[in-house]
Parts: sequence; structure tokens; C-alpha cells
Amino acid sequence: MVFSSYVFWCFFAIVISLYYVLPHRWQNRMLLVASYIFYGWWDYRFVALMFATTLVDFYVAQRIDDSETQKTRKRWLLVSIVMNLGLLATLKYFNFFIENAQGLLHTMGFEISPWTLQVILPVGISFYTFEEMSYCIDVYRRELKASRNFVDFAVFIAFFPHLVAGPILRPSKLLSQFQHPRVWKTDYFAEGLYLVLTGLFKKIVIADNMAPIADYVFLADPNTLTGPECMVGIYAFAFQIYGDFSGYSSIAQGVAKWLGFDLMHNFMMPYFATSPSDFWRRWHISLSQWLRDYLYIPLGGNRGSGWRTYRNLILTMVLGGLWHGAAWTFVLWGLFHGVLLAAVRWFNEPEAGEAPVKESKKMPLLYRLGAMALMFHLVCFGWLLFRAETLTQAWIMTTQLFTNVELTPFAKVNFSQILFFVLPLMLVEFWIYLQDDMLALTRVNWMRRGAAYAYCAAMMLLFAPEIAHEFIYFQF
Amino acid sequence: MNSSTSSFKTELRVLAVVLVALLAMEAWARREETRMYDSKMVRGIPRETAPFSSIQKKGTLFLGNSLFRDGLDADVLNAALKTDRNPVFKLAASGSSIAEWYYYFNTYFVRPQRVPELVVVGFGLSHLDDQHSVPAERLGGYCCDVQDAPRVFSEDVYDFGERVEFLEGMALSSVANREWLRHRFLSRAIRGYAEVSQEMQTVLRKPSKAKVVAPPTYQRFVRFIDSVRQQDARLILVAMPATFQYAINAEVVTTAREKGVTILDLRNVAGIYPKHFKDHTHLTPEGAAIFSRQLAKQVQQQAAAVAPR
Repeated sequence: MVFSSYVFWCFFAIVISLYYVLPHRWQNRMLLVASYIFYGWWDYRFVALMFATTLVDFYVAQRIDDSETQKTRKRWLLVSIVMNLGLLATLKYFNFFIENAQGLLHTMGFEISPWTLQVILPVGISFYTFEEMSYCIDVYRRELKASRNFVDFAVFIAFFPHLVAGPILRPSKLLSQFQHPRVWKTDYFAEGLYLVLTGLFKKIVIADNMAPIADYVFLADPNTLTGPECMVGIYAFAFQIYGDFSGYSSIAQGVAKWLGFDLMHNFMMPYFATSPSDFWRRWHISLSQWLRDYLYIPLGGNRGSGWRTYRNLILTMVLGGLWHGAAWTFVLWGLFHGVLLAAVRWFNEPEAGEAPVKESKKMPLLYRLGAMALMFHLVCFGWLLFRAETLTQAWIMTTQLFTNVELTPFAKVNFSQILFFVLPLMLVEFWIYLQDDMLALTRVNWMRRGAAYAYCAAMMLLFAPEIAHEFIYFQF
Repeated sequence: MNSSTSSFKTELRVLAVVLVALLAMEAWARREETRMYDSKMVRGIPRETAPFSSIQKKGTLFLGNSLFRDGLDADVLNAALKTDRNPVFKLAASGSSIAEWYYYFNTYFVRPQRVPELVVVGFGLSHLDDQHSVPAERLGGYCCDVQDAPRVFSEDVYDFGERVEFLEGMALSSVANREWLRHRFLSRAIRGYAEVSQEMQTVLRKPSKAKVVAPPTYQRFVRFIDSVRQQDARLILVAMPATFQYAINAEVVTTAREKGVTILDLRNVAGIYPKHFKDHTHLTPEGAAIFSRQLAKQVQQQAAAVAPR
């Protein structure tokens, strides 16, 4: 049941109709049932797994909270971490490690026939295990009291808007919203409408129309592609993944808003970033913050020597890359971003405590635009590593980019298609960027807003592609 | 009036603007539809097939997709086959396949009692397979009546979203003709779009090497044969020419033989060369004339073989 399907909106119509006639406690129970139905729609077997991990972490967090000694608290925390990471390692990474070990042993002259797992990776497992871990860690750090109400905790984990592709919400931000009756704010309907509509537009019009271009290029034999064709494929993928993931997050935020919940912005115009650190403050913000708080800072963050900081940055980003999937291309993508962050830090130590957006806004506009263009192309190079099936493919495509500059009809037509679909969105986003207000469009005159929404609706109706693609981040 | 009501009312105004814009777009789509080949052809069926109702069990229907649209030369066929007692009609809906042909036949010929004596169906590589995609919005917009919905939902369109698209296609021209409108718009806006998108679709529709493809099934094909036979009409299947060699599935051959359906194998026609194709499957007008002469000759031979009835 994906957000861009009719079945989801029928489901949501039933949920919201029941939701507003129920009292607070029953609202939570109903949302829990609805969230499990939503999740079970993919495969009912996944529900049992999520329920089991939720139950364990609910119990473990209470044991951590109730334990007097630090040693006992640590042991209970270890139970949660081992269970969650063990689950991820088994279901997501086991075959990857086994196959690589087999390859390594083969090069050393040993032949083995290892046993591999034939399992389907449960949808959204990386998202909810990270949430459960952050909950137990926060309780361990005494930043949060363990929840004593199973329904509140279970619905916090399973809350359907953010369950399968985030944002990865912190318990301190979301759990409390389940514990207290929701307070309806006057702007929630308008904001929800804006977020849902733009989210659907990004998914249906941008991502799904960019997908065939990217697929065509990345399915082709890279030796047969010209540089501009590779470039077109990379640009298309850059906007596909942005439209797909930020669209999903936006719909999640909008749907939650209509239910009276406030979720964080997961994307803030990332392609207008002027530096690597600025990019990571704008792209998949909830994961970046999770990695910062639960990995980078515990590793030592920037507290040690310069080299330790660089090591921590690179290690965090490599693990962040691996979080996306069990493949060397993801590792390389993480490494690339880690090195980029470290290199920029080495060249230009940021001023402590200064906000990144303000920092970039101090630059003259022309300089800022140049920095944006450079950063966008560095990010695009990262997407090449991310999307490539193999390292060889990534290498050949990189070589083609610089050696074969023939502008073919394929490249011309698809450059034009990218411009046709993406340019209006980018112009509006640049205006929002200049306003420094993610919801700026909800504050303009109703007629202008109506015109913008009409454009989105008309494009969705006329330019929905024949084949809808599933949300990319479901597989992570 | 509190601010909550005010905010809600403002949003209703915003939604009203959206609704007006969508209605305007629907009006534009309906106007554009009148220029569309498929639309003109389908809307013209009642008028064009009127002679079928006055002549009992006579006439020839050529039913197919763009392979027939480009591959049949109307002048050649009419000269060879058409008489006052034998009207000829060509229904060649772009991108259609066996599921749509079944509904076209029932909606426009069986139901208004205009059943021809002979139905000639042109097919290519996978048009008879159950696995060929069924565009729900086009099925709704062109091939079916509301009364077909239960059958469509139980036999052809299973997904909830596609069922909604089927109903939308019935009601809205902008949905029923979405692919065509999109293609027409982008072809005009971007030079070379038509050729590049055709090439991309061909590549992207090929099953990946890693994917295990299940053998095709032919339930819809059997259903179509039964529905034609039920009307006491004869059916001829025509394997269309292409620049590449493709196999006719053994199950198609067996089923056709068992049910007394003739297959004309015109995959290779003497005198048709690669220069007679616009792409790999669609014939040029010159190729169409050669092909149509050959087809008309074979159809006449088949008719002679069974006459008198």
C-alpha cells in the first residue's frame, strides 16, 4: 500500500473518519491497528517480526529505566542493540558478507559452498530498528523515561505515515505526541494539503518520469554510452531519488499533520546546498541526525585531534552508506561523502556554532550559485556510485563522461525532458529557499496557491507514467 | 468565525481553483480527442458498421492494433474484398491486444447485433498472451460499457487502483487518452521525442536477463475464440511480418487447430524487405500495399475453401 495508490487514500479516508470520532486513548489503539494493517498489506509475515522487536524493546527500555547500576543498564542496552543490529545483519547483510568471504577465500585458493539465506527483506526494517535503538539509547542516557504504555510505544514505532521510509523520528519528538491528546492547530489542514500535494507531485511527476531515463542508461552497456548520455542518466537518477524520497517524506508529513501530528522536515532543498555539510543538513535530515547523535558523537565526534575527526566523519558516512544496502557501491558512496566532508573540513574549518544556512546566505548570490552548481555535481557523482550495479559500471561511466562528448538525440531529448519536468519545481524551491521558510507557499494569496496546486494536479493527471515505480527507499 | 474555520474556507477556495482548472483540462482533452486516430475510429464504429446489421452474417472485420493500422492498405483490401454484400471494416486500436479485442468485438459488434461473417485478427510477438499489459483506463474509455465492469474486474483488471482507473477512463477523456495526450504534447515540445521514446520503451519492456519469465498463458485468447465462434462467425489469425524472426507459441497453434481457427503465417511475405518497415514492426505505405495484396489473396482462398456454407 503505497502513498501514491488509490487503495492508500481509501484506507486513509476510513482511518481519519474513525480517528476524529474517537477519544484520545482509542485514537492511539485505532492508529496501532491501522498501522499494522498498513504494514501487513505488503506481507503479513513482516507484522510478527515488527511486533516481536517492539515487544522486546518495550520491555528492555523498562529494565534499563528500572536498573540501579550502570552495569545492568548497559547489559540491557546491549540486548536491544544486539537484537536490532543482529536482525539487520541477518536479514540484510548476511548474504553480502558470506558472498564476499567466499570471494576472498577463492582468491586465497580455498573453495567453499556457503549457505545463504533465501529471505525477503522486510519493508522499512532499517527505519524501525533504528527508531527502536534510539529509544533504548535515549532511555539509557536518561534523556527519556521508558514508556509504560505498550500501545503508545507500539504506535510510535509503527505509526503508518513514517513506518516504511521515515523520517526516522526521535522518541522525544514523537512519542510524547502519542502520550498527550493532540492539539489541532489552525494551519494543519492547509499545511497538510500543501505537503501531500507537493509530495504526490514529486513522486508521480518527477520521480516516476525520471525513472525510465535513469533505468535506460543504467541498464545499458556502459561502453556503448556517450558522456552526455551518462550525464543524462545521472541527472535523471538525482531527481528521481530526490522526488521519490522527499515526496514520500512530504506525504508522510502531510498525512500526519491531518491526524494532528507534527513530523520534522526530512528534506530542505538539498540541491541548493553549497557545501557537503550543508548538503547533509538538507538531505535525509532524520538519518543524518541519527548518525550524528548515535554514531559520530559516540565515536568522539570532533572532540579529538584533526585526524580522529576525519576518521569519525568517514567511518560514519561509510556506515551510513552501508545502511542503504548490502553492496560495495553503497559503501563507496558513503566513503565518497565521508572523504568530501573531511576534505572540505580540512580546507575550511567551519566557525563553531554558526548555522549552516545563514553561513551560506552570507555569500554573494553569484558565488553561492557557483557553490550550489559545484556541490550539485559532486552529489551527482555520488549518485553514480549509488545507482551503479557494479563498481566496473561506475568506473566505465565516469570514464565516458570525460572522454566521449558526442551529443546524441537520446541525450538531447532526455535533457529536454528533465528540464520540462524538473525546472518548474526547482524554480519554486529556489523561491522557497530564498524565503527561508519551508511552508512559504502556504502563506501566499489563495489564488496563487490555487494556481500552483492546479499545475501539480494537472501534471499528475496528464503526465503520470504508464508504469508507476515503487518508492526507492522501501528497499532500504 | 474563528481562525480555524477561516483557514479551512480559504483552502476550500484553493481547492475550487484546482477543480476549475481540472475541468478546463478535461474540456481541452475532449476537444483534442476528436483529432485522435483511435478516437475517430472508435466513435465512427456505429456509423461505419451500419451495413453489418442489414446484411445477415456477411462482412469482414479486420481487428488488430497499430500493426494493422499501418499494415493494411484500405484501397487494396476494399478492391479485393469489398462488395455490397460484403462490407469491410478495419478496427485497429493503437497498443491494443487480445483483452481489448475481446471487448471491442462484444461491445461494438455482438451487442448491437452487427456480427460479421469473418473476423481477421492481426497479431505480433505477444499480443495473444495473457501477460500482455491491459491498460485499464483505455479499456474503460474505449472498449467497454458500464455493464462490462463486473466481467472486467473478475477476469482482466484485478488491482484496486487499476479498477479506479478503468472507471475514470469511462468518465474522463483526460484519463482515457492520457498516453496519447502526453505523447502528443511531448512530441510537439521536444524534437525527436517520438523516436527516442519508442526506442526506450522497446528496451525497457524487455524482461531482464536475471528475471525468470513464466511461460505465457492464453485464457483470454480462448475466451476471444469462443466469443467469436458463439456468434457463428469465422476467425482467421494473421501472424504479422517483422524485421526479426519471432515464434508463434505452440499453445496458440494447438488451441487454434482444436477450435477450428485458421492461422495465416505472414511473418515472411515475398516482396517485403526491411526497407518496407518504419521501425521493426510497422510497415510503410508501400509495405502495407504488398502485405494487403497477399493478405487479401489468402483470405479469399480461405473463404473459397469453406464456401458454400
